Order: sequence, then structure tokens, then C-alpha cells
Amino acid sequence: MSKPTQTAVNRRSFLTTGAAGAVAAGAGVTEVAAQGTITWDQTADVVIVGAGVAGLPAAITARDLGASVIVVDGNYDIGGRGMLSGGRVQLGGGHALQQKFNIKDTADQVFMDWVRHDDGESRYSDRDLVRVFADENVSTYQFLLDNGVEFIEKPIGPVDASTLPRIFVTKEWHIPAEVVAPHRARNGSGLVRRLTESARKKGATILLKHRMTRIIREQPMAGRVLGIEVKTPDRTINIRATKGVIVATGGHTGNVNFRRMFDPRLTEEYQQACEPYVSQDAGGELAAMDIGASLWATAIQTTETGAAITKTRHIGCRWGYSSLVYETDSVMFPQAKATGLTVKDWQDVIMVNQFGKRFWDENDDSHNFFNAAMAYSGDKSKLNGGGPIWAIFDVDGAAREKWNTKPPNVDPDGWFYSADTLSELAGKIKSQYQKQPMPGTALADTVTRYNTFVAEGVDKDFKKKTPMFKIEKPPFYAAWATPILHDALTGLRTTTDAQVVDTRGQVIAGLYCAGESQGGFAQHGLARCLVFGRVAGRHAAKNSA
Amino acid sequence: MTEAVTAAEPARHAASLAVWDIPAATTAGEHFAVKVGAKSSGGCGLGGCRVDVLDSAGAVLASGQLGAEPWPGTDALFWSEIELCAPSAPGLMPLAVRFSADGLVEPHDSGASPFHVAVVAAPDHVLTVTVAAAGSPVADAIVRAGPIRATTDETGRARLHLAKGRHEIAVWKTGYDAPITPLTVEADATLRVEAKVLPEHDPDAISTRTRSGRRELRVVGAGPNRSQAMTDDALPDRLCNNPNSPHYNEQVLSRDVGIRFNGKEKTNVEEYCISEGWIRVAAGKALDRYGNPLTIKLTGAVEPYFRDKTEG
Ligand SMILES: Cc1cc2nc3c(=O)[nH]c(=O)nc-3n(C[C@H](O)[C@H](O)[C@H](O)COP(=O)(O)OP(=O)(O)OC[C@H]3O[C@@H](n4cnc5c(N)ncnc54)[C@H](O)[C@@H]3O)c2cc1C
Repeated sequence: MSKPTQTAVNRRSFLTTGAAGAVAAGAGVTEVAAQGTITWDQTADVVIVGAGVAGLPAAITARDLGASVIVVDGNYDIGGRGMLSGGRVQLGGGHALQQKFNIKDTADQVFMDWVRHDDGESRYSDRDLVRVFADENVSTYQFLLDNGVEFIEKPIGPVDASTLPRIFVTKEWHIPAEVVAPHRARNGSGLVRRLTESARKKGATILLKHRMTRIIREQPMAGRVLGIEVKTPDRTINIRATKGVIVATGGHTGNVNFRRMFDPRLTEEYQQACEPYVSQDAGGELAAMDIGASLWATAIQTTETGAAITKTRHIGCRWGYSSLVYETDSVMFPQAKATGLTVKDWQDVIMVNQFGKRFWDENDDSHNFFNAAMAYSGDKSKLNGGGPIWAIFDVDGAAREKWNTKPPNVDPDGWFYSADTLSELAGKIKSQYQKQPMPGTALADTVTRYNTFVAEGVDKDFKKKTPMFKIEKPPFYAAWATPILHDALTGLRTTTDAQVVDTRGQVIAGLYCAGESQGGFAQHGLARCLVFGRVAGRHAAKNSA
Repeated sequence: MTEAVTAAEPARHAASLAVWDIPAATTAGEHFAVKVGAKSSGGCGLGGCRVDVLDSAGAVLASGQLGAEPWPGTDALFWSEIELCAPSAPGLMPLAVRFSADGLVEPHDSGASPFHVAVVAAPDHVLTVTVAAAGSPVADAIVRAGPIRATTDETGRARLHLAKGRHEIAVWKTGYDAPITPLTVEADATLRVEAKVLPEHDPDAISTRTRSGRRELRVVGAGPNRSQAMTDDALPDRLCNNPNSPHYNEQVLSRDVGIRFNGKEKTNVEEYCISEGWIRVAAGKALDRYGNPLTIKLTGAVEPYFRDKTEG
């Protein structure tokens, strides 16, 4: 079978034809009574949820092996977070481009690096998964080249747990209007657009605005996975997967309830780095867990080494993640509403919590800073989470940073305020996350105290290195600067073939997972998603269901 | 426009205040000026109103009348410049401004807003500081000794006018890192400060684990490419070798840190603090109930150094 087919089958007849494999007929029949009849609107060998960094290589790999492929994506366009990424791909093992720069790498070295005990980013990983990752690095790099992905020939590194330069950056997509966040080196756009081109050319069907809402298994907690339920803009359909369903939905950090399983501090005020283009809403994890799937290596989410949470670099807008700015000509600008003010030097601002109090050294960008920002703020109505964090500065600070404090640089609708005096500024701050007004005297007192630290050159409260500038000259500004969430570092448990495993340690036949929704390997970003996307696509295509 | 009110009280406006253009440092006994502005929460014009500057005992030192035009860039901040005289003793002088609503139709609530002025002793000497990085002069760097500051010129030079005594010279410029140099000024002198150009940070690189994102300083393993990794020779002001302490620093402690205390070599130091001038040393082999060594605090001059540096 090579092309998806439109079929409508009665679930009972489907089960009784024996296509369900090893499931006992009795159990299947009972289950039919419990779940009713399923009408399949479409069928393919391999059905992939998510046309992002893991889903696209899964689709191509499965097609290369002759399987028919349907990819569904809830978004209006492909790429997921990969579209917004910097395109820094950390693959090694001694691939062609590494060789060109005389970087002597091996699969074993990749493995040894990413299981290092002395690095928090590698320590907690499932070494069986890391071994597969290491062994698939060179072939994955070649796979990218074979499918049209272009790289800038400049090695970067070593970074993270790596001991050798392994990062090469993909070339940005050449049509700015299709980059989503143009003019900002979103080189990952080239990666996902090229892979999409190739996937389509090879005959994969990509259905946009198709959101998976349920994974259909023979029985709620037993038997094979049969397909998925999908919401389209106008209806709900069922897509049957004869060989496998691959969850490549990109992680969970946008789902407040889900992320708080790992860290109860992560309440609703923390925004998400990839919004508003895509949200990491844990849809894949939840659908899989509903049919029995397990999470894996959950410690990784909270090791305080990776980028689960990051400092806001563009302040005064809702989404100010380090590398992501939606300029006014971005298709996302109408939702993002502001580009933000990019902080060059944290000496130019102080940061205060919702009560107008400083909480840490503004220069620090370690997890010590995040821990202080998320500390109990004194809000008796909300004990978890640290509440909003605001950057406070004066007109001189804005001048030093060369900021224009007007829209479209800032969003005055909840994320940026200005006033003639500090106490007036405190009173003006209104945010859906600021549960009570900031006390004006508290903010003024904080600034007065900080100004004495500037005069003396010593921060007696938080040891900011030689506090440089007083905040005294009107007008005064408050800009949203609450830390912003980034990576999902844990997810569904899988085998080394990317087959999802249930809470009893049993493989869920016909269900796969790759990308940030997969648990077990702490590496940041693209490389692990690409590798395990291929692994999942390959195994699913070969699956003799 | 109006403040929140309770049913029993009549609506009252409030005036809030700002004080700016306070000199970074003022020489004892000299005159200086500050700007004082007031804003009405009710949007009232405050031109003509009086503002007073008070000392820490609440006595009025000087007064001014707010002008008719708001300060440029503000909605309605009416302001005045007020001249003051610095006291003869150096230090941080606490002052406050107070708004007087006399003569306004609408009554205005207003507390006193505190501010400080740094008063320094009259200078005796000139310290010429030259800032360079990678062999080139660094212009537009701020050089400071406490509140006294100057900016480097194209040749990387700045002149600080300082009184005799101990000073700490700090240098700051965005994109650079420079050590703080403690010194005692007894005559005109020169100081050369070697700054480091901070590597440009790729905003897509993940760097939340060390301070200021300088990941390449991380020391790990004995991998072939890591042996050169540690290039930073700065020792922190405070360091503790208990991993549970906030002053624990794995990166620094991965190298051998030696301590000279009051000029003598100490080998049993568990924690030190340079600025506060103390060390904690292990008291024999005794452990507390958490298994940490019991320590004794000794005060004196603390000089930490990297052993590998002095030996190599
Ligand atoms: C600003 C930014 C910069 C980055 N820079 C880098 C970098 O330089 N290097 C690096 O290695 N990594 C980088 N990353 C991280 C990298 O982009 C991600 O790790 C990677 O894209 C994750 O791949 P994925 O396939 O798991 O998810 P994604 O690429 O996000 O794809 C998931 C897809 O699934 C879809 N989806 C989700 N739920 C459903 C559902 N229920 N039904 C249907 N479809 C669904 C989404 O719409 C999305 O298209 C960056 C991320 C961001 C946000």
C-alpha cells in the first residue's frame, strides 16, 4: 500500500477480519460493545501527529520504506517550534561536515558525552536511548542532506555535554513571508520547509488544521492502537493507521496542569517560548496516557541545567523569549502585538515582583535567578508560583539601551506601563496575572534602597556586581519580564525503537513517540527529535500489523 | 484618575514625587542642585505649589516653587530645581522631599519621599585609570571609586579625583568584564585595568547554568578538548566548599584554591569571605549532625588564590 485511502469501515468487521493482530477475539468483541462502532474516514499505514521536527523525518522515512503516510497537524502551517528555531542542529559522530573541518568524532564519543555523570544535562538520560541516538547521528545528518536540508559550513561548540564541535546551523528559508518570524535568523525555517517539500514530493499527505483529539486503541487500556480521532475546522473524523500512530506533538510546557506535575511552581503566569505560533499543550502525552502510556525520566524536567525556563530578553511584551521576536511584518504580529525591548545590559533595569520588591541579582541568568523569581512572593491568595516579574527603569535607562518605549515595541495592554513617578507607575500596572495592585510606596522604597546601592557601588541585598545606575529620572517604566518557559525535557516512555510503553512496562502495539513529547533524553532541541523521528518512522513502516 | 476610596471618606487626591539629577557624588561642604517634581493623581495642575527638602530630622533645608510647565516627556509632572549644601562629613546623606498642597482647591495627600546624596571628602590626588582589553584601549567605560565616577576617553583613560585612603576601583562597560581593584591612594597614581571582552552570546544557545552565560568556563571531565576550558582566574568574594551552600561554586572549586589568612597559609578553610574579612576553619575532625565539619570563624585579611596558577 502506498497512498492513503478513503475508507469507512465498521469497527466490528475490521476487528473480525483479523487485522487487529494478536488480540483475542473475545476481548475485541466486548470492547466493540463498550466503544461502539468506529467509522474510519481515512486510512494510511502510518499516521503521524505533528508536522514538526520529529514528525517530518518520521513521514519521509516511512515513505522511503514504502508505507503510506498521513501527517495531521493542528496548526495552519507546518514546522511547529522547529519553524521558529535557530536551526542549530547538534549531530555528530563524525559526519561529512565534521570531517570537512577535521573534527574527529565517533558514535562512541557522542554516546560517552551524552551519558556523562558530571553534567546535569546528560546524567539522568536513559542510556539505551542515548546509544541509539549516538548510532544514528551520522545517518541522520546524511538523511537531512538527502532530503534537501542545507547547512552553513561553520562548526560551533563544544556546547552542552558535548566535548567536540557538533553544531551546524541550517540555512534559513529563502522566502521571508514563509519564515513566520522573518529577519531574525530563524534558520530552523529552512530545516522544516525543506523536509516538508521532500515529504510531499515523496507522497506523504499533510493535513493542516487537523488536530488529534484521541488515540483509538482496541480497548481503553489494552490491545493495538488502531488510529486517531481528529478535529478539523468543521467536523470530527477518524483516521485509521494500519501499522502505527506516531505522536510527534512537541511537548507539554504550554499546559499549566501538565507541567505542574513536575514543578508545582509553574503556575499560569509563565508564558511559553513558541507562542502564539504553536503551543506545547501536552495533547499527545495526554492522549497516550489516556490509553495507558507512561512518562519517563521525569527528573530531567527539573535538573536545573537545561532550558526548561529562561530569562525574558525582550521585555514589555507577552512573549520575550531569548531568540524570538515577531517583527511587525510577521504573520504572528497581530497576536504577539509587540516586538519587545531587547535588554543589552541588566544594569539598566531592576526587576521586582508583584509587590514591588527586588528578589535577586538582575545580572544572574542561572537557575538561582529563576528559583528566586518563582519563590513565594507573599501572595496569600496564591501560594505557588512567584507571580509576575517587572523590569523597572527610568528615562535614562531607556536612553542608554536606545529603547523607543512606544508601540509596536511595547504592548501597553497588560505588558508595559509608564508614569511620571514611581508610585504612580505601581498603581498603573494591570495584568491578568497581577492579582493585586503593586503598592506604590513599596516600589518607591525598593528604588530608593537600590539607588543607595548604586551610590556605594555595593548591592547589600543581592550582590549585583557594582550596581551602576540610579533609577530616578522621570518618566518611569514597568515592563513584563517574567521568566518564560522553553523546553519540554520529559515525556512518554518509549523503547529504543520509539514504541510507547505503558505504566506496567508493556509496549503499546502500534503507538510511537518522538520529539519533545518523548521522555528519556535530556538533549535540547532539534537533533534528538530528528533522530527519533526517523527511528519511529522506520519501525512503524516495518511493523507487520 | 482617582484613587480608590472607602465610602466614609471624601475622594482625596494624592501627590506623588520624584527627585532626579542628583549628582553621583558631592564634595563635602559644596553646593549642588536637584530637581524635584510632583504629580497629582487627580490630574490637577500643580504649578506654583511648594516643595520642601527635609533633613533626616525633618527640618526644612530648602524649598522651591513648582513651575508652570510639566517636565518634558511626562504627562503632568510639575517641577522645580532646588539648591542644597552638602554637609561637611562624607557619607550617604539621607534627605526627603515633601509636597505642600496649600493653596490648591482640591486637598492632596502626600507623604515625604526619601532620597540620598553621596557626600565625599575633598580630593587630594588624581588617579589615572587606563582600561584596555586585548591590547586595545576601551573608551566610554565608566570607572568608579564608590560614588565617584569618570568615563574613559579614546585612549582608555579616565581621571578620578580621590581623597587619601582606601578605594575600590570598578570598571564597567556593556560587553566587558573587569576585575575590581582595591588600592590605597597616597599620592597621584596610575592604574591599568585589563578588561575582558565578553563573547557574544547566541540567543539560541542554551545557557542557564552559569552566571552571565559564560558556559565555556565550565570545567568538566578530562576530555581532550576540555583541558583548556578554564580561562577565568577571578575568585569570588565568598566561597564555601559545602555543596549545599549558596556560596558553593563547583567551577572554582574544581581547581585547587589556596588561602592566605593574615599573611599565613591556611589549609583547613571551609569557607571565606574577602569583603567581610573572615574565614571558617574546620574544628578538628568533629562533624555536625548533618555530617558537615564543625567550624570556627576567624576574622582578618583573606587572600584566596589559585594554587595551579602560582605553581604553573
Ligand atoms: C525560539 C526557539 C528557538 C529554538 N532554537 C533551537 C535551536 O537553535 N536548536 C535546537 O536544537 N533547538 C531549538 N529549539 C527547539 C526545537 O525547535 C524543538 O526542540 C523542536 O522543534 C521540537 O520538535 P518536535 O517535533 O517535538 O515539536 P515541534 O517541532 O514543535 O512540532 C510539533 C507539531 O505538532 C503539532 N501538534 C501538537 N499537538 C497536536 C495535536 N494534538 N494534533 C495535531 N498536531 C499537533 C504542532 O502544531 C506542531 O506543528 C528552539 C525552539 C524555539 C521555540
